[in-house]
Amino acid sequence: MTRLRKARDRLRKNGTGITLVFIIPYTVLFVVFRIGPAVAGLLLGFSNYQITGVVSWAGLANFRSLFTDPLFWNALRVTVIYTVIAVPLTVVVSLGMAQLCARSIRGIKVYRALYFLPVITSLVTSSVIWQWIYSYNGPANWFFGAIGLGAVPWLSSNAMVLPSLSLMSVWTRFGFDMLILLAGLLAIPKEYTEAAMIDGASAWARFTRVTLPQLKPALFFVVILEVIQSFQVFDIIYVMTGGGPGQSSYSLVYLIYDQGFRYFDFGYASAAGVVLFAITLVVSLWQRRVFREDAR
Amino acid sequence: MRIRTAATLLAAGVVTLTAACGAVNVGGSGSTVGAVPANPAKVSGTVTMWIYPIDPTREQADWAPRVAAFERKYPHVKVNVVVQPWANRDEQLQTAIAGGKAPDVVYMIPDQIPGYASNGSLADVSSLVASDKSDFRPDALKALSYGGKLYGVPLLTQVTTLLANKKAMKAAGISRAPKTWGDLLADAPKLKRAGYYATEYDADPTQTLNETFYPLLWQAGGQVLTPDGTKAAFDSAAGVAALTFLTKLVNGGYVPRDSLTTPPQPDTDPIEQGKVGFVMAGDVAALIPTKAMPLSGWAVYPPLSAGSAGSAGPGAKPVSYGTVGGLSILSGSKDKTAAAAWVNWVTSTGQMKSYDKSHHYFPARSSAGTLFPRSTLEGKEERLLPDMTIGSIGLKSRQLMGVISPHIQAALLGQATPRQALSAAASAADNLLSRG
Repeated sequence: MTRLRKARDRLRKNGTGITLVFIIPYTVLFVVFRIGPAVAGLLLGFSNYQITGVVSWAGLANFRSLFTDPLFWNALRVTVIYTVIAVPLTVVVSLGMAQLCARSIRGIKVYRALYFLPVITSLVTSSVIWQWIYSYNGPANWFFGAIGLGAVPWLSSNAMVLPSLSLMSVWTRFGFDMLILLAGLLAIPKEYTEAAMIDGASAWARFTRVTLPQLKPALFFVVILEVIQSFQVFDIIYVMTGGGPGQSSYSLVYLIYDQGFRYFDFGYASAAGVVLFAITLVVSLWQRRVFREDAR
Repeated sequence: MRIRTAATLLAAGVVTLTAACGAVNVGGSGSTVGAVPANPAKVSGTVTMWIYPIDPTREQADWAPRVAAFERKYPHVKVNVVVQPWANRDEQLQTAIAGGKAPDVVYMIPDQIPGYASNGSLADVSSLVASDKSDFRPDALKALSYGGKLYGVPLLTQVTTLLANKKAMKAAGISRAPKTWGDLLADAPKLKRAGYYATEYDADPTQTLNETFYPLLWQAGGQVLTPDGTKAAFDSAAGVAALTFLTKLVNGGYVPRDSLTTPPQPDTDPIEQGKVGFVMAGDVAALIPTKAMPLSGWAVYPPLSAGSAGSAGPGAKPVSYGTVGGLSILSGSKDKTAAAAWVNWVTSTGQMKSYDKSHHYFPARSSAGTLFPRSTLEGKEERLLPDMTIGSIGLKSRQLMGVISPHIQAALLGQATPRQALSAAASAADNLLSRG
């Protein structure tokens, strides 16, 4: 009894009690709905699972099939290329927009809200709009025709489809990243840039030597988020290209969807999911390390 | 501490997996539905049926009087009809089955049957047609069968055929609808000059080949697979001819370019905008009337045959794809007898006739006769039912389409010749089929 009272007093005194009250509900939900299914997915990768509940142990068979399947390697290649194009593009645009929005000009709050609109627009709706923009007789080709460049095969060329999808992804994502970077920018004490200005640093030097290093935590967060988002690209491909032309936009998550929900091979789909998880984890840890080393 | 955390997470995963597996375990072989007792009073239970907006304007309202009539006849049975959206229907159904929350009865089409039947989700309903099997169209029963067992009782049949835009024909000065591929190729420049596409070909990999490439293959006398189903057969001379015909249409600028790469969207589809002269494998019930293209603007003609202008080629036939919609009973149903009574009643001649007529489809029973006058669009289609084929239905039908479609698309985008594309597709298909 005394021990219980002591523990209670300790929790009260150092504030741990109230902290736990706030943390535990989320932790429980996170474990049940995130960690649990993730571990279940991992186990499914080693099994043959039927939706009626029949599960049999498959060992490494699903992974062996996966690594000898040209479709998997194509999907991985597509996902990596998409990530390489989409992530830097999104981060650069977000950073530029955050810089613009950090200025105190009239109506800046309205601009910020407008830039955020694509983020809260449904991805499917955005995809349908962009499908129209990219269509053969659509506004994008009308513009290129008007300036004498001719029609661009936005979604019908193997080489153009991933850059086109990346461009659309920038439009849907930059508003969110911009807000994070904007918060980071506004948190940088003005004294730093003012001191650099007095020392005669140019605008570019102030940006690269003062702003960027100070923005590193926010940038790290944005890059990690974008890499994860890009590795999980699905919706826009599902609506806009169906993985085509050919298999030029057939991403890893699209493969998982196809194998699971279209072909009923949940074990195989889960194995692909495990590989995707492993890749994302390794890339995230590597990024974390790079950003940390730079910070020293 | 870390080991303990990992162990806890693993345990949570096992618990989740076990929960996900649910209590249903039928050993993957499904179950069998017995005969329905003759006395309705002896049947009891609750039946939930998932149907889809087969006619979006009336589906919900249409079922209420049917359910009321059934419940009057079977006073101890309660029926809930749930109209689910078409979108993501397989994901929805699979999740429901896995979670033990599946309906008792579900509407299915032939290419869904092998997947669900092979994993034991569906019950064998052969007994429900045992007494009047000869009344059902043999093709309809075959379409809903897998491994020698019947997994759905046919409710409706549908046929795709050649649909013509009357306004486009008039504007292009075409007095007779094309009968062969050559006829269509001859009409195409006239339509283009008048501001219309000759046809639309949806080549993005999400489209079913049953309504795009396969009908052309069959029209040229080809088949998708060898008779034993173990090898690809579509890379034959017939297949090359079909794909060559399509590339001529594409290269001539006679089909909307966007339809080759992007899934058609409502409102922007050139067919609905009245910009397409002919739909090669369309059906009246699936047409969405718009201001630009009302139903009255369409005319129905027999499917095309392979061949040059004015004459069909050797082995060519005016054939197209037709499908069947049926009601399947889930293995996990707790009231299979009540579900069987409901399915039997809905697919009886009288009910089938009234449902099919109101939904612009055709009955799967010969005793239902023909439903539509010859002068109507549906009537013209109904008389083309003998020209329909259900194609090849197998466990890997959908996967096959997944490996063939990208190669056909590549040929249409000029990235491969028809022969190269079909040869590569056949090699991928053989690889898939050999995996067992």
